[in-house]
Amino acid sequence: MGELRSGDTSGTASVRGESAAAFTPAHADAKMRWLRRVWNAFLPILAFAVLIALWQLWVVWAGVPAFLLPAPTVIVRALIDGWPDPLAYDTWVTLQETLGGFALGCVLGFLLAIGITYSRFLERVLYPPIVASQAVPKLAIAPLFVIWLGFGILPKIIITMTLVFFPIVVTTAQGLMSVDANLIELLRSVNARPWQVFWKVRLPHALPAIISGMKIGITLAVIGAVVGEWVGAGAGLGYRVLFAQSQLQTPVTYAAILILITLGVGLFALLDAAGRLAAPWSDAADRINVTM
Amino acid sequence: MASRPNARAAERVSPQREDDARRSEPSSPAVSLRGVRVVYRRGAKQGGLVALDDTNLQIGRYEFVSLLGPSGCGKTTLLKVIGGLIGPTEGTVEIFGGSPEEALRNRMFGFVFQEPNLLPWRNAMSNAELLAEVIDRKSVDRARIAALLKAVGLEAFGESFPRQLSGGMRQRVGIVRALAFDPKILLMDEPFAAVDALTRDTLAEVLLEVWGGIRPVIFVTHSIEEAVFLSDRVVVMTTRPGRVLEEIPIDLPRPRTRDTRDTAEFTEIRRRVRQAVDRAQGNRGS
Repeated sequence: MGELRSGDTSGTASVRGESAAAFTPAHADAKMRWLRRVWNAFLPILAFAVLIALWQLWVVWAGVPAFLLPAPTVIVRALIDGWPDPLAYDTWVTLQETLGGFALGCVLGFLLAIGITYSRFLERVLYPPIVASQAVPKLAIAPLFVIWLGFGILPKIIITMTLVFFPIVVTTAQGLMSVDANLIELLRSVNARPWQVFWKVRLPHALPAIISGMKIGITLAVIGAVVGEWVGAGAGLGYRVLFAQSQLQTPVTYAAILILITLGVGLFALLDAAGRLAAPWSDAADRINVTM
Repeated sequence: MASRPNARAAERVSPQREDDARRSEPSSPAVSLRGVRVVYRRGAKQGGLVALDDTNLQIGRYEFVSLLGPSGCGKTTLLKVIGGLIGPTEGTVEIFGGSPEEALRNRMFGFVFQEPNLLPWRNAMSNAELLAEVIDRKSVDRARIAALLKAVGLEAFGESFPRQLSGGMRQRVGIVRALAFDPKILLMDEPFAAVDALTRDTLAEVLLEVWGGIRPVIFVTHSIEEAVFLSDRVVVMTTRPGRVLEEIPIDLPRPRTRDTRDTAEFTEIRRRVRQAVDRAQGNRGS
């Protein structure tokens, strides 16, 4: 949880810091600027520490029972006690479901986007059911996947995929189609083949948009894996949340949630860094600075 | 070879042949349009939009020709018809004796548009190579491209990315990109319209240098000054429907430099072209 909060807020802080730096005169003292940056990075961490401290104090002083709201120290205790057995194994299971569903969702979304880009017919035929598929509550249809595919990892991967592919389709299709018409015409003027236009222009042009879609997709993938586990599983962090709750082991529930958050933020940060390497020309890579 | 106001299409063809003969060029022109008419399907209820009507034009093998006229007079359409990007509804277009489609397949056209549209993930050198690379990845003439970059004053910027370059520099890369594969004809659609006036004059001089008179250039512009400075002949077009109104030869000596713009001859020709453009605009709705 610490990583999410501090990561999130320091991101906005760094954006603010950049704009502040832009208005500082060029001759401004470098040391002052350095201090300002440290302060900007430190502020959210401090705010978060204060919040945790207040939580701890309140639980201890008011005597809140642990099954209602465990103190931060109790949650950390549960995390240490539960590692590696069973939390490490749960993490491994959920990670596989997340990444498997994410990979399949990316492939499906990418192929659908290419179809939509190159065929007006496919665009008209595919878009309505794709959008409709997102209006269906995943938790409501998840049991169907269990009926069709059993209790193994497969139904979780499929459920995750149905969540992930949607942002990939939308952003990829938008990226592939938003190439300047004059540029396409320029390539046509030297008789370029459609695959040359795709590899040399459309795909690299779409890359920043595709990466954005994947960043949305990876956070949805963690949710998908948990939803999948909730309708039938014997392991995994989602399963652990439910199971610990039924046993009134609330600290374990919190510990599992903490790992889930870390997983989501970590995978997001990984994609963010990969995106910067893959598309350093992208404006978005400059602006959206979450991992700092 | 004075201007031929409101010349009938048939009359225009033969003096042009004399013109070619005078220059002792091969008798067949690089570009030849006869009775070209282009109708866009938009607004089909009224029988479509006539973008270009009854257009006859011959362009010599070493000639720099500007298409000048008000917005909507079909300048860009005419350029794209020549470049094989739009097929004429009626009439014939010949490029070195063949069809524009054939010429396009043989990579005869080097296009430059108003926006350079450089790829932000490629540096200047790599952007300049794009079209040559599309034509044949293995035979990209890097020495030629480097020489062209030097000729347009960008030898120190080959490694720079588009966002590090000014608007004028980007358009220079666009010109090098079009010339990189040694096209037979250079087709330019308001290439300097998006840069500031000072840069615009400089780019015109740079263009004349890299052109060198070895291939025909067809140059679409809104600027009378620019058309006069660059061209061997200015084709003034009129609107609704777009057609050729007048062709004015520009007899200024080459090489033309910055000082050319200050000469009395330049001013005189510019005045005649402006009068022709005024007539073209007065012709609106006729």
